[in-house]
Amino acid sequence: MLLTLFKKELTELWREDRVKWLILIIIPLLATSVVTSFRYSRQLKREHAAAMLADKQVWDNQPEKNPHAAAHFGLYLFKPVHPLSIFEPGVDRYIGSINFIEAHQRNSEQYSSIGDGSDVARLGFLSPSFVLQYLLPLLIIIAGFNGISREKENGNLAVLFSQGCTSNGLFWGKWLAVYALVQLIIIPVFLCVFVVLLLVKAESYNYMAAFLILCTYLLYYAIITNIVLFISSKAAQSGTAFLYCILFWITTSMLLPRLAGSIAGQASPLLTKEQIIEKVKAYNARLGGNIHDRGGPAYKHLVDSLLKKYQVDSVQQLPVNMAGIRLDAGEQSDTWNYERIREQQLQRLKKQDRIITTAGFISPLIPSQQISMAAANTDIFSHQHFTDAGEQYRRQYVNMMNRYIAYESGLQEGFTSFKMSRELWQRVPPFQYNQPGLVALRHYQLAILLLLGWLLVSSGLLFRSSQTLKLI
Amino acid sequence: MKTIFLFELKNWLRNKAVWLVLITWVLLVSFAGWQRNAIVCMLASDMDSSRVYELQKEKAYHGLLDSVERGLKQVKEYANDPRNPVYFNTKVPRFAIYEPGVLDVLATGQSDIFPQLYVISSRADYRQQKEEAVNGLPLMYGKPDMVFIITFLFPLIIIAFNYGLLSSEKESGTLKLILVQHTNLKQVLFAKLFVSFLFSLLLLLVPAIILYILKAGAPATIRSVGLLLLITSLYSLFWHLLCAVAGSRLKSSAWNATVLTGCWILLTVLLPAVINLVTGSVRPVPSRTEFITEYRRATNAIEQDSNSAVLDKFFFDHPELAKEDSTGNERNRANQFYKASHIKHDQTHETLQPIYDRYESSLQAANRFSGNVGLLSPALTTHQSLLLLAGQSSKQYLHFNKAIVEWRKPYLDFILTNLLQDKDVNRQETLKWSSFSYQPYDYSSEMATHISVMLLFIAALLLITLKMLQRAVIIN
Repeated sequence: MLLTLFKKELTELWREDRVKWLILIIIPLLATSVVTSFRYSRQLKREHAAAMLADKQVWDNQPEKNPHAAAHFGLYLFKPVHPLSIFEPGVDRYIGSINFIEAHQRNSEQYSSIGDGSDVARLGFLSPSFVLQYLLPLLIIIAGFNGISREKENGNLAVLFSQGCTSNGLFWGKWLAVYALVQLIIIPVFLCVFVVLLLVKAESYNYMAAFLILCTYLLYYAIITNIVLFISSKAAQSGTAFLYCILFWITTSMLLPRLAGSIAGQASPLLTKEQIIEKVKAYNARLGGNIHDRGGPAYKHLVDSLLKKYQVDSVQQLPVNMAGIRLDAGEQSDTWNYERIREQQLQRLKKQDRIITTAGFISPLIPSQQISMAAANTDIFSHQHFTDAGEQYRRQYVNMMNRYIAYESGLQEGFTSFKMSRELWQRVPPFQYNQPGLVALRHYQLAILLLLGWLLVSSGLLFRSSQTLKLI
Repeated sequence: MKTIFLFELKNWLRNKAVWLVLITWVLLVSFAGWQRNAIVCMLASDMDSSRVYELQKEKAYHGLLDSVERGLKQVKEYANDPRNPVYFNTKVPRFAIYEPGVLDVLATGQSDIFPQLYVISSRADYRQQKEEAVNGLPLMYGKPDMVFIITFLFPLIIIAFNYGLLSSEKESGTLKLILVQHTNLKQVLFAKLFVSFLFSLLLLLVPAIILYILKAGAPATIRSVGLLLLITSLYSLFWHLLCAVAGSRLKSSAWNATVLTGCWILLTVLLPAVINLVTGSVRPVPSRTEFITEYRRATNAIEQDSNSAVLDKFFFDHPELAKEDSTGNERNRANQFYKASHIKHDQTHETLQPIYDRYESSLQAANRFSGNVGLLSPALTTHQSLLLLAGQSSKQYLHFNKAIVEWRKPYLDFILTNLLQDKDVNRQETLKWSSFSYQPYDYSSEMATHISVMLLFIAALLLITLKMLQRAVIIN
């Protein structure tokens, strides 16, 4: 009976013009988005690799200069492109992917692609995830909004039940037909994902991540199907059912994420550049002033400790270069300051994320997006992972430059006339970065629970609705 | 027709859903206004602080300059001499502050992407100033501001109330009864539409009143609020007539609801995404990585060419270390660094100028293209018009950036010329560069185009509705 109902529903859906039209719109859009995303991603990957290499060459070929001046010349780091970002670009377009690292400073990533776009770019990019997250639920709505309500309107329920069909069977048949329609689109897309992963010779964990994204979408579509059929069973007319379904889609997909993001930004604003500068000043003041200030107590304390350590009476007698030591100590103090600021910034970011995730109690799209982005390493915490790796690299090369002056320059004091050549620059290893992979998901445990919760609650509602379906 | 109108009006007033929508609308718009207003107030306060800081620095500078010029104060180090053009350039910051539109509270627009304050100095290039740390997720979602509510949610309210214009009467069997009472389909349809349009105007008055009351940013003028009402009313009329077109086919309510929602999705969700895709392919913006590579090569090449003992940025960051060198007097040594550094910076800038120009003209071309294609969707046209009214469109920010470049060039020439000629700056000269100002972007021609396009859409829909109603009468 269930199979008969399923076949009947699928045939009816297939006969519906509006379903055919929407499928005809979605498939070319999806294909176009996959092709353009693939091209964009490949171009970005090529550009980043070339620019990274070119920048390292520029660094290696710097003329003779003071190592600290070289530390100021800095390096550019480019965020690697994750293979799954083709399908789930996440927040990558909204945050810069290029970081300039230099002495004394911890900079934010620059040049987001959204900044190079027009006003229309803020209204959404046509990416595969856009189609899968926003348009496929619409297909479910179009296919299922009148699933039960039509039977009630036409008075078919009595006929169906008289022929041995149960209320559960009717709901299951409709549910499976609508869900199968979505599979027609989602399965080819994910076959395409696996082909792309093979083409780009992705790491094995990426296949796992892709499978996880597929499961997330399947869960999300199951939830939407449950809700659409639930609304359809409760509404007196198909028109009303449609409007309620659309209202649900708009509220959960467009309004709530915006509200959540906006409230999060206001409740826990990130530190601005000016606030960071003020904080650095305050920390320095607590440490006895900026160590770069040769008249300040911090500097005097450093000199005293060195004189004591090497058991000499004056800076001139030190076996190390005082200017280099001062720069190194200054960098350590800057690092300490920035580490504290980073912790505060991360706490604020986590609070924002908590607020947004909480909105997932009302919107199933939010946890689905978060899991999908984390699996593709295009979420905000994966971005933070890249920023932190860049900071480690920055410390490594700046320390190398300063410590060379301090311990290997052979000068006892002064250092402006001290210069080094390429040998030293070439000692700086190239930046190596490994993406966090599936570890990124550890930030989204609540999102996973929420998605499962949504499935349970929506299935419960649908089941209850099937039990209480009235013939008239 | 008057009777139908009055009857409909009574129906609307009795309808609980109308009051529910009205209350929800007031709450939503007020929340959006309150939230944006808080950000605008914060930004305005930051900008005021910057202006005060700029004035204080300038006052302190002129006080010091006066004392030194009149011989009341001696300055030992040239780096701290207020007559030194580099001192003037670095110690008296020039802030370029963006002037938002009078309806700033209306939209977030591009304000969370483009900086609204730049420091203008010979060393700081506005195109390379460091960015703030951001959480990309709220940026990705966008803000629930009034523009979003008006452009995206408002049409859905119109659709919800009008998808069954004639079909609901037909389905309940009352249409025939109405038609036998000396009236026709046209009168019934337009009477119903008129009541709904009046209700929509009431809804649109809410943001206009809120914007007029709120005093954050620049106070709203009658003209700007009037323009807002005109644009949004045309937008409302467009959606009402679209409902009329769907309704005049006399199909089922479910069919109307599906088609109208389909139109909404097409115009507000699909078209922007497709326009972005097409703009990226037809008018691509040059890659930033290419720019960085060229920038690095240029700076390195200039450093390689230099045979002077100047250590460029190093001595800007550590000017006190200049004293450790042994040649020449202190002023000459310092000036040597400053000159070389400024020349190098100028050279780098010259080398990169074609890339900057190409990048900026491409960005403008992409904006123009997407703006023109966006005219196909009244939703995008309205969105763009409201952004212009709020002063938060890309075009307005790019105009501001261009004004910075234009202001900066003669200012830098002044610094560099004085520096190269070993000339001190005096009070009169420095006063010429007291503060940055620019003429805000004039959007009147674009606004006229947007209004004309909306009127064209409205006229076309009206004609289609009338035509279809004629046919509907014949069929009936």
